[in-house]
Amino acid sequence: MELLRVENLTKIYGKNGIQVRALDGVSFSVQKGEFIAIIGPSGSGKSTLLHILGGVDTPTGGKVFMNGCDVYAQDDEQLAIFRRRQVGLVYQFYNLIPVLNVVENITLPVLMDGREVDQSRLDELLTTLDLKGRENHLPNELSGGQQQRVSIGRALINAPAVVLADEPTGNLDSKNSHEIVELLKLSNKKYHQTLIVITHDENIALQADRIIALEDGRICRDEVIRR
Amino acid sequence: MNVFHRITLRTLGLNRVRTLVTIAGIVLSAAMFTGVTTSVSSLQDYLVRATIDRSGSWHGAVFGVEQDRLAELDTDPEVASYTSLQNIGYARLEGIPSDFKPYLFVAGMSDDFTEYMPVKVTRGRLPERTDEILLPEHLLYQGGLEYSLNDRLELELGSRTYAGEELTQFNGLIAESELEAETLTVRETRAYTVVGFYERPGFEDFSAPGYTALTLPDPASPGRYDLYIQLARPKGVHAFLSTKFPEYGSTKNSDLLRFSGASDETTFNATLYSLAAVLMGLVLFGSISLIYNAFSISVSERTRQYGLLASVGATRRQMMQSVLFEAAFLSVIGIPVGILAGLAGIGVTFRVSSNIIMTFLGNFADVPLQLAPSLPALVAAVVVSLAAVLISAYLPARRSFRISPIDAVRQNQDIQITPGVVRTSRLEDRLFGLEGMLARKNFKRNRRKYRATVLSLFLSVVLFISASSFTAYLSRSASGLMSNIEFDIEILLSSAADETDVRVPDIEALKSDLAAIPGITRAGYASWAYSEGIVAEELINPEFMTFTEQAGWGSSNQPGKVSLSTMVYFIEDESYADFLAEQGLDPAVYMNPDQPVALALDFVRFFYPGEERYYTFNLLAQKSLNMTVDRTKSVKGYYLDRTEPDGQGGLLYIYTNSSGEEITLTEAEVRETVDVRIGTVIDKKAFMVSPDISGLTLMFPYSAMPKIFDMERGQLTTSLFFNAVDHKAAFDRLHDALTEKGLPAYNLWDYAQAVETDRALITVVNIFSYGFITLLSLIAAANVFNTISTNIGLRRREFAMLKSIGMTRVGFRRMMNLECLLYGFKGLVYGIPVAIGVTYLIYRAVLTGYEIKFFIPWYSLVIATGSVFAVVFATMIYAMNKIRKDNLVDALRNENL
Repeated sequence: MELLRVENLTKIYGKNGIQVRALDGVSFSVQKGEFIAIIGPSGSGKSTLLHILGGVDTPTGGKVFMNGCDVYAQDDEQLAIFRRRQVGLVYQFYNLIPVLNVVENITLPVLMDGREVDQSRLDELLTTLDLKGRENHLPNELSGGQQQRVSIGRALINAPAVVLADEPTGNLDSKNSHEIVELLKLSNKKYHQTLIVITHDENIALQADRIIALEDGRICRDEVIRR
Repeated sequence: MNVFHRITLRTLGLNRVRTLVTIAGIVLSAAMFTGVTTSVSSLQDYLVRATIDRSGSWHGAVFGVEQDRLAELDTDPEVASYTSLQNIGYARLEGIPSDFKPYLFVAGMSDDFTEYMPVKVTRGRLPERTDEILLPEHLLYQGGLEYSLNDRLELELGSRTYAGEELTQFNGLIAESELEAETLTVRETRAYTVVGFYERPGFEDFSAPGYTALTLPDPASPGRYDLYIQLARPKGVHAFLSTKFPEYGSTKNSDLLRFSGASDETTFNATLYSLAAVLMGLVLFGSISLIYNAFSISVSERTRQYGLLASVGATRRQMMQSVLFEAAFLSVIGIPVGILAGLAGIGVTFRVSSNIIMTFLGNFADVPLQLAPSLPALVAAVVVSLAAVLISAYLPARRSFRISPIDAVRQNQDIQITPGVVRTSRLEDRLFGLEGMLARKNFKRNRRKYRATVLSLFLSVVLFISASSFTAYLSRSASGLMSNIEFDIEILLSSAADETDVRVPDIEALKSDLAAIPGITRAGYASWAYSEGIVAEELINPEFMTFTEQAGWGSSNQPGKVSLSTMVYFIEDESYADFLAEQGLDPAVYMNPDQPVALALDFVRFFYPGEERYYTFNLLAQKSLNMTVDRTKSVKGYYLDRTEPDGQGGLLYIYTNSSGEEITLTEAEVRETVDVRIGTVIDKKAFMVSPDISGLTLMFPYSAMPKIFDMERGQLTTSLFFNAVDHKAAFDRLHDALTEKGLPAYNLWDYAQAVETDRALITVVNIFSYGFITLLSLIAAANVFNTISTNIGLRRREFAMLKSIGMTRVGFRRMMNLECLLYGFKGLVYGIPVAIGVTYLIYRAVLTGYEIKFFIPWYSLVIATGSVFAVVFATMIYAMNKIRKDNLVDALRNENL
């Protein structure tokens, strides 16, 4: 089932004199449950693509369809809801709210909805993320790895249609990196979470189902490596 | 509590100092707003109450209304209430010399009369029966009659008529003139017992022909009433009186109307309200800038946070709500505290300075100054403060919502550098080094932020220095004006032009009697006359002659002679002898009874409007000379209207009185020309002399008076002068003493009181202006503190980076010091010239009333400069201290900063 379709996506930075084409007519589609790794050199537009998919950056041209719905045809309010429920973004620099503790950061999307937190789901996540016992800690009391796990938890809590991760292990040591990747794969396998990960790490890329390579804002390779 | 509120509150708690400063700003602005409005409303309330105490609580009064009209008022919806005086009748009093107030006006008080009208019993009690009467005090001290409690009066009561019409208290006495006078038709004789006396009633007009004596209404009386009406809508009093009672004499309680804001006379209210509006404008400006600053300087932090929240899925509405929540939260704390602080502040100020304020306002001792906050104003204070906070929170936030979440997170918009804008000059770079360059670049980078800070500093500097100038000039002019008067109290015994025929008693005996009153430290008497002095031209200071020619002033009628206005003083011998001894002058010469010789004061000062400055001269060219003095006769009850040629080369002098009658006198009858010798010119004046600074002043001993002037031609103005330990007590005692002696006590003047009043005014102005300035300065200081400290807080990473590449602590300090200097310097460089300009304007305003040189209150400049730098540096030190302990790498890496 096609979950996500990107058509002719373009993003241009800068004005008049100096223009940078970060994305130049990117098109592809993603099936539900796929684990995709996006690779490419620096400046190839990987982060830009991810941010646009996640609804946190606006494209200059082209369309993005999620579940058949034109993402950028929505108004601001709907777009915000889209970000809250349909996608989970994991950044390289954790981007946690400094004044909220671990549980609050994780459950932030749920709290924004004003709904009750599913305690059992939260519990399960905390266990899986190995954050039990740190529920009330603030981000500045956690190590880098722990902070990243919190942000993954935040991405997963609402069971979004797709999880987008931008170099999730970029700031972590090898042990933590490994654990994080296992976590992401787990959610992909267990919950059939569609997963799109940007990575420099070849090891991680090879664990994905499909690799899309970007260069100068265009897809230069789109290869399924695992069925 | 939803998660946004949670985040907001926790963020506020995290930045405790900044939060407190913001709340302080809200408190200050609400407090000042409340303070200004409460002062105005309390003042107004006081004036209203004082006026009611003095003249009664009524808006319009109608005189001589028939009884059946009263019922109309009961049912008239425009009338809130009314009270009345029944006109029982007029009685002519024997022994009253007055030309314009010869009657006793007997009136019956309605039941509620004393509720609305000021009837202040001084002795005895209110009348309880129709044959008891309450007499006004001024009947005694002004009318000169003597009555005591329990006296029995037999009054021939009647009504006054003129040309067939009955007259009321509204109609002044129609005395004999070309037409016939009014007539008093006696109706009956009544007996009254005097049961009490009351203070001169404020509702009796000065021109009313009868002293108001109060009793109870008499059912058998003719039935005409004076009505004192309170309207539901005071503003409509004029229309009410003219439509409903056009045929009667009526008057309005203009003071009360004016102070309640219901008068047609808008100048008082306009002045008061516009002054308040100006103050409020300043308050609003200062506090809004503080509050706005407090929110906007943290907008870069918040931008990042909003971006984050947006990326997780917060809608714009939710984020806006959290902004408003923050604003509301801070306001709920700050505004009530501010209002209470404002009320408390004014309350304390009133308590501390109430005596002073009341002295200045006219000392209605019965009516205390109270705190009377105006509810609409308080509501307005809340609304305005709330609006200020909301706008200040909303506008910066709105900016950060416009950008895409990822840009917000990356804070791309925060620093937008246009090439060229951040250039610094090579010279400065060389002078101040790297640190200086960084300091200046920071300045240019954060233009908007620092501009607000500089503006606050600028405003504070200007206001502070201006207020200091204002009070300094005010003090100097007031002390200057009053400094010449060295006596506290004066009793004017007879004025040459006085209407009343008061005989001057044996003045020496009177002086001794009064000087014996406890508390009197010095007593004396003097007489003086205004005259025309004629001096030969060659004896006049040539500089003065040139001046008069330039100024275009004419000289006297006689060629070769100059006419100078001359005051001639005759000073009590004892005092004069002391004065001569002090000055080392020979009494044999100056107190020679056979050959009187004058001492002259010839210092004059003129304000020449053409050049906007004062000119001073000594009039006489030599120390001793001969001159003549011309005294013009004064006729009791008349004033000199004009002169006409008599057809023989001389002049006829025509005097007129208030009724228009004329008396014509010849020059010989009128002018008295006396030769006078001036023994020497001195520059010190004797006790009791108030020299004429536009002409000559001559001083003689009292005993010389009959030798100089012909006493048959008329008395001179004569006064007694006193100094006392406690001028108020002395005043009262002198008043009593005069009354006992049967002398009029209404010419008793307390000069010391006037000086006190002036000084009191200055103190009040000082209190309020300094209080106000201090608060505004606090706001400015808070503003500066907030801006600089948050700025520094936001630049922690930058500082960490600088440290990491090797900037030493000394280098840091230098960079920060230079930034401080830039802030302070800019604030002062703009502020001081403007402040000096304002000082110049104040100087010009004062100059028209008093000669003064332009000066700048240097101490205030020093204080302003010192404070500006103190605040800026203190802030920097505080902020830097907080960052000093940062671990370098954590700061560099930690995005949580």
